[in-house]
Amino acid sequence: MIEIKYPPREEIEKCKEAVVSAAVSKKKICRPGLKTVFYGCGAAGYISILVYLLLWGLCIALRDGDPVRTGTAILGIYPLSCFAFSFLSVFSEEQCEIIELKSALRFPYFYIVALRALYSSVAAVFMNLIVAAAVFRDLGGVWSLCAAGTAFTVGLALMSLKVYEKFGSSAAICAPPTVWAAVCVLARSSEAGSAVFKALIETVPLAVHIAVAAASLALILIYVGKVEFKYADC
Amino acid sequence: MLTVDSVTKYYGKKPAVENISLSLGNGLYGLLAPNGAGKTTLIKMLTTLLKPTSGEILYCGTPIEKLGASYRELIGYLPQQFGYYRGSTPVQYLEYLAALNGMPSKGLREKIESVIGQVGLSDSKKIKMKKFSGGMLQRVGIAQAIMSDPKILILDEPTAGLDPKERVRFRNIISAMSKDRTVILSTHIVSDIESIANRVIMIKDRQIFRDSTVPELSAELEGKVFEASVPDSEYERFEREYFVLSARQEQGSMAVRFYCESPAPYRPAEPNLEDFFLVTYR
Repeated sequence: MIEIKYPPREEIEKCKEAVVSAAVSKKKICRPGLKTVFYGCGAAGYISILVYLLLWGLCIALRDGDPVRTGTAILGIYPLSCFAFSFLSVFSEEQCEIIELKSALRFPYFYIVALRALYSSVAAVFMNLIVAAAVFRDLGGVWSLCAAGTAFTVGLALMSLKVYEKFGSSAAICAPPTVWAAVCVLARSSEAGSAVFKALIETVPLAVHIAVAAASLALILIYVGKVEFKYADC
Repeated sequence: MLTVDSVTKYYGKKPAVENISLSLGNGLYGLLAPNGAGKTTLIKMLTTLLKPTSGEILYCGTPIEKLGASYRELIGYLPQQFGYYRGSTPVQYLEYLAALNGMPSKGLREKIESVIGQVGLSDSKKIKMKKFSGGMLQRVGIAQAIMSDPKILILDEPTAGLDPKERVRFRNIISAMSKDRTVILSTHIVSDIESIANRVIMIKDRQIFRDSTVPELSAELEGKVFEASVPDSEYERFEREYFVLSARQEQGSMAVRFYCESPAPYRPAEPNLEDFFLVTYR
C-alpha cells in the first residue's frame, strides 16, 4: 500500500493564494485619466457654466452697501456653482441607464463620481477666487469670504458624496447644497442669521479661515483616496 | 471556479432569492426562469452590483467582495438595460468602457475592431449610436461584454431585440467562448440556450428548482408529451382537459402538442426544454 502524504495546511493556503493571484490579473492602469472621468459630460458642463455665470450675475446684482449681506450672498453662491455640474452629470447618466454597466467595471461609477466631485470642486474654488478677486476686491473681508467659501464648497462636496454613496440617486447630490442655499437665504433675511454671518466674516481671523479651507481640502483628498482604495483597488 | 454559497437576498422584507447554492466552472450556464423570478437579482449579485443579505459568492475560494476591482476586471457584463451615450460611435464608446475597465491602450484599437467585426457592426462603427436600431445597440452591448476577453461572461437577456440571423450569430460567438471560461446567460427565451447550454439552472419560488443538462430535463417529461389533431369544435373541451403546450390551426382542426401526467390515447411526442419550461411554470 502506498502512503500518500497530505500537504500541511500552510502549503495548501499558499497554493490557493498562488492560484487566485494567477487567475486574478494584476492591475494594469491604476487611475482613469481626465478624459475618462469627464466622458459624456459635455452638456452638463455647458449648462453648468451657464448656471455659474447666472449665479455670479445674481450675486453682483444683489450687491448693496451692506458688506455682511453681500458676503452672505457670496458664501451662498460659492458652493452652488460646482453642484450644478455634479448633479447634471449624474442625472444625464441616470437618463441614459448607463450607471449599472459602469458600476460593474474595474473603475466603478461611484469612484468616477468621487473624482468628478474632487476635480470640479477644486476648479470651482479657483474660478470663484478669480471672480471674487476681480469683482469684490474692495469688499471688506473678501479673502475671509473666499477662504470660508472654499471650506463650504469642499465640505458640501464631501457631504454630497457621502449622501450619494448611501442613496445612489442624483437627487441625493442636491440635498446638502440645497440646505446650504436655504440657510444663506434665511441668514440674509433675518437679523440673527446676519449676526452669525457677520461674526463669521468679521470676527474669525483670516488665518483660521485659511486653515479650515486647507483642512477641508485635505479631508476630501483623504475621502477620495479611501474611495479609490475601496472601490478601485488602487 | 465561481461558487454561490447559500445566498439569500431581501429587498426590505421581501425575499428575491433564497438559499441559492451553485458551482460554476468553465462552460455555458443557462439561467432560465420567467420574468420576476429573481434572475436579475442573482446576476446583480454575481456582478457585485448587489450584496447578498446572507451567504457569499466566491471566486477560486475568495469572496468576490474581497477581490473587488480585481474581480470586476475579470467580468464581461451585459445588463438587461444596456445604456449608452447617444452622441458616441461604437468605437468611441468601447474605447471609453475599455478605459473604465483598466484595459491598456496598446492594441486596444485592434481589439475593438475585432469585436465589432465579430458582432457584425464593421460597416456602422463610425455612425453615432443615436441612429442605431435596438438590435444594433444590443450588438454593441455584446461587443463591450466580450471585449476584455473576460474569464466570466454574464449576459442578462442578451437576445432582446435581435433578429433570427443575429441570434444565431450571437449563439455561435458565446458557444465558442464558453470552452475556456464561465458564461452565464440569463433568459426567459428557451431557444436561446436549448442548443448551447452545458447546464440549465431554473429558478422557481425564489430557489434553484433544477440544475441539469437539457437532455436530463427533457427526459423528465418522457411519455408525458403527446400530439393530436383536434377538431375545432372539440378544442375548447380538450384545452380544459389537458395542458396545451402549443396549438397550430390546420384545415378544420387544431394540431395540438400537450402535456398529460398519465398515459393518454394519443401519439407520444419527443419532449423538449420548452415543454419542461412551460410545464414547470404553468
